[in-house]
Amino acid sequence: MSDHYLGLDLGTSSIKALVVDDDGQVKGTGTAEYPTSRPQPGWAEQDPDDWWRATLEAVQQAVGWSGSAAIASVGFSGQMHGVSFLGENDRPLYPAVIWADQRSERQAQAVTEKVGAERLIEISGSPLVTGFLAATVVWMQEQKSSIWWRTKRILSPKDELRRRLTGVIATDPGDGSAALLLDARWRNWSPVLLDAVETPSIVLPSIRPSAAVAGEVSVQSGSELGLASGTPVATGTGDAASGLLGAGIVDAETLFLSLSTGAQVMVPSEVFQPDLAGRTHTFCSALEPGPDSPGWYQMGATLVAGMAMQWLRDEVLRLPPAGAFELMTSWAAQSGPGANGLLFLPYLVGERTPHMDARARGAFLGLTPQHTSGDIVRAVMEGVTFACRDALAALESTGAEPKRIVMAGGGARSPLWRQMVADVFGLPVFGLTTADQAAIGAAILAKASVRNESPIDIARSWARYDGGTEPSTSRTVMYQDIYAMFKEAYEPVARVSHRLAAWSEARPRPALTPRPIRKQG
Amino acid sequence: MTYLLGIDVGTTSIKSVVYRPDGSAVASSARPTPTHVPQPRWAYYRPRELWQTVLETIRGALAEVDDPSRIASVAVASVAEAGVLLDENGDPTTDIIAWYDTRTKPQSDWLGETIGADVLFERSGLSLQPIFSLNKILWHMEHEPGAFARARQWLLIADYIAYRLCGEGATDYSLGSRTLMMHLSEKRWDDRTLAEAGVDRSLLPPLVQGGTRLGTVTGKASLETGLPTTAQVSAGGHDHVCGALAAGVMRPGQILNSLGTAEAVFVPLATPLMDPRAGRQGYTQGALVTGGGYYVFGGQYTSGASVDWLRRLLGTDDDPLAYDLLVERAARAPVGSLGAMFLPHLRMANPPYEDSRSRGALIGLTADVGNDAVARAVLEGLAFESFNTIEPLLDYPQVVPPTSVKAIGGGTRNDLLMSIKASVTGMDHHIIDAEEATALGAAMLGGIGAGVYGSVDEAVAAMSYGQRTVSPNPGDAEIYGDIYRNVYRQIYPVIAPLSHAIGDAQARIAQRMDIEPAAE
Repeated sequence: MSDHYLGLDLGTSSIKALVVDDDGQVKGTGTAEYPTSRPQPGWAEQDPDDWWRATLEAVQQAVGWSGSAAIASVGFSGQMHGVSFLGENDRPLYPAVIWADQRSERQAQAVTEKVGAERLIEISGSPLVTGFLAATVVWMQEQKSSIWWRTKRILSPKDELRRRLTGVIATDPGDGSAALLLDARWRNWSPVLLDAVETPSIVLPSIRPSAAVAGEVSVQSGSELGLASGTPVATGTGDAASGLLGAGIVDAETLFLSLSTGAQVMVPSEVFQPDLAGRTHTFCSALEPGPDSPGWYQMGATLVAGMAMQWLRDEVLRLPPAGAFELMTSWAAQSGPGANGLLFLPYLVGERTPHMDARARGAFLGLTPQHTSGDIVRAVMEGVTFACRDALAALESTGAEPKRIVMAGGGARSPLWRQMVADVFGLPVFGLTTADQAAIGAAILAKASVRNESPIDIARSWARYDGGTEPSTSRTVMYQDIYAMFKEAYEPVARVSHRLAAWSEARPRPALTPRPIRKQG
Repeated sequence: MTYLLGIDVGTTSIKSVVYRPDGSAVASSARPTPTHVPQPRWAYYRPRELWQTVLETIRGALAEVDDPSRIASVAVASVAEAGVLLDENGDPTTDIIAWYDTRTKPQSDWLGETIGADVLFERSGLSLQPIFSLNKILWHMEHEPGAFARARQWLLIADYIAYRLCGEGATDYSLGSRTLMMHLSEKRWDDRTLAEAGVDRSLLPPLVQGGTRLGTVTGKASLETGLPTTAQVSAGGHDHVCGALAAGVMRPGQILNSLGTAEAVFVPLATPLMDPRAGRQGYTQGALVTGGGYYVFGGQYTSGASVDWLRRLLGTDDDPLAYDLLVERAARAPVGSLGAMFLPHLRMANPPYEDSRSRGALIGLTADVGNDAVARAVLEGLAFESFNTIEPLLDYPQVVPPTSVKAIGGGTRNDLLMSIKASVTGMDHHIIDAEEATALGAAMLGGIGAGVYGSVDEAVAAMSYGQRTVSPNPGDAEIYGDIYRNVYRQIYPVIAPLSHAIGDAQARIAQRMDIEPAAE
């Protein structure tokens, strides 16, 4: 019997546990949810005890499903940026404050001003935004000083989970950089940043490579989980870096495009070259930097992707959800590149990369009486794709030069959308068929930590793609034309949108009315 | 009781309606206007087909009338600018180029070079465009010299139908003012323009006031139509000017808003606008059918069309969302549509913007903006756009600011739209429920010519149609005033360059697709 590895991905709302064999085949899966509490508007907290309970459930499911395979090692992936506060004897003092928490906006600004926006990015790779560990820590100092004074340790979410499994306190460069306290170039805690947040380095964990063994399953947790005590446990990394690994994206020439509610564009990088304008994030990857081993990745976020299709389906066209996306994309296929002269700006909730504009709004431009539902759907898909292309443009400004795209998320299931991405980006697209890539990434790190094999090789041999979609030269030329227009449209439309946003924000929201009527077919 | 027949030859349909003297309809019949489209931007009618269709509608209407011999009068309203050349026997020598056909651009350019657009404006009050009749005559002269040589008379469509009914040809001031050949303030054919263009004055019929008696229905026409030979035929006029008469909009200080597939604002004037800027802003002017006055007119080309487009989009092409349902949904959204705004330039811009390459836009979209808010945004956009067309007119010294608006047409049945319009303009809207106002205006002119009414005022006073008033809501008016001033007026200038770029890109793509189809 070959060896098996356990990959754990502590997500935002649930944990995923995968038992994976030596060839990357999933032999068992388990999942369990945990709640997020919102004690005040904009706050988002989770109880690490809930994480642990969910872990027990998910691991038991996964191991049970796999036919109680022997687990050679365990690896971790987890939600980034959050923090749990531990006191004497590693007892939790406060719920974990997760990335979605908005309480620390003022603190994030203050720290940014203190360090200087550009210098902060030069050191850490990213702008400091609310919900990041460094900002939450300052909030704790200011608002709950009694807790802060008793705090002995601060840990990122997956590191807290690993502590419970092994008793070992450690983190990896990826989560360290996501905390925004790391000198991401040298992969060490930054004295400048620690100084700025008035935090002694003693409360921070030591930094270990993601693919290194950080500890062993303890006797007590082993018996709770049904794992052999002494099983090696890898450090692991944040879920974005782990997802890249699970998707087999381990070189600087492959762009990862994840089209879900929002979209993320990520590309590994062999040099540390952050965007000083703060439009993108540069974090440490799960790989140690070296030749052909990109130690960082750059990431841009498009706020509206699948959300625009959902909005169109539920709010505008009001289609019954079952089969609606297939129906909508079949309409869109009837239209052509450029949607017969209809352009959509997808900024329904504002935009991050590259515009960093919370008050941008969506728009349909170029409307004529001939435009059909198919043109509308196509324009929305194209608009989202252009917005993703815009995010890549920001990555390109700091050196990204991808030669191919790996696409994941709901959007990747549509052949039309894959073709559109290939045509708009002018690059071949490979649809990722590996599911749960962050948990797979964790299993890759688990295997690499106990085998004499690089995570790069394992990632390459485990990732699964469809047959690939080549761009059409003629459509690529057409889309270059339309994309140029899309870029041109942002600024003037934003001027009007900002006025509209100011106007509608000054008005009270109406109560929602029920909407029973749905269009058929 | 005496009956009056009004005929309306429109762009999409031809209607004959028989009225009582109080303006209530007794019978009516309508047929689609038989139109030929040989290539994009071209369209023509065959004179005989047009006449045959008119005949069918007259017979159709008369079939519902108890005693056709009671019909005392007939007059015809029609689209303007389009006309036909007749030979010495009164038979057509050419087809009728549709009013909106733009094949005549070279003729229009030539007139601009030869006579000059400003000079032509000074004389005719019209801003030079290819559609005006003189360009059409020049086109026939150049492209159909044989037919032109045989021609003895030029008649506009309404005049041609009246001619077929009574044997007399005449053009009224309202139609004459759309030919580019009439001196607007002096209401005479302009001999200088005709001489400079090389058109023989003898081709043109006498210019008369609408409601001038031309003759009685001929025996031949009586046989063809079933009309009595006692029925008097009078000069009708330009369709929307006849509609204004039916609504009683004839005096400075009044304003008419007609809402159909296209929408228009119509403002009577005592004297024509003298500033050529009005033409560059896309307004146009002309003579009223009667009473000696003038009007200035601004069209909104895709008003009802915007609503129909949205209905198709929210339903399906074959089964558009019901009109009532659309309005019901729009009514659920708050005033201001959550910040969503619609620019209704689906085909082109509207006055004061002269821009045939403008396009529609739906902006300010957020995840909260749903079906209801989009529907309301479209109605609000139509109201803002209409006000945007009215407002610049108030800068002209000839325009007397109105205090209320009269409204006619199918769009007035949309109560929500009317109340939005009242709040956007800050003016009461008096909605006139006349049946087929254009045909009614023609019937009134016929009645005046036949002596059924003693005067125009008597004719208007005789009308018994219903009227209801929609008033502004002060709270809504304040909000709309804010949005209109601070946002709506910014939209077109910001969006226009993008619309042009999109149109250009679409043309490039279409060209490329022709060379190399990019099927997926």
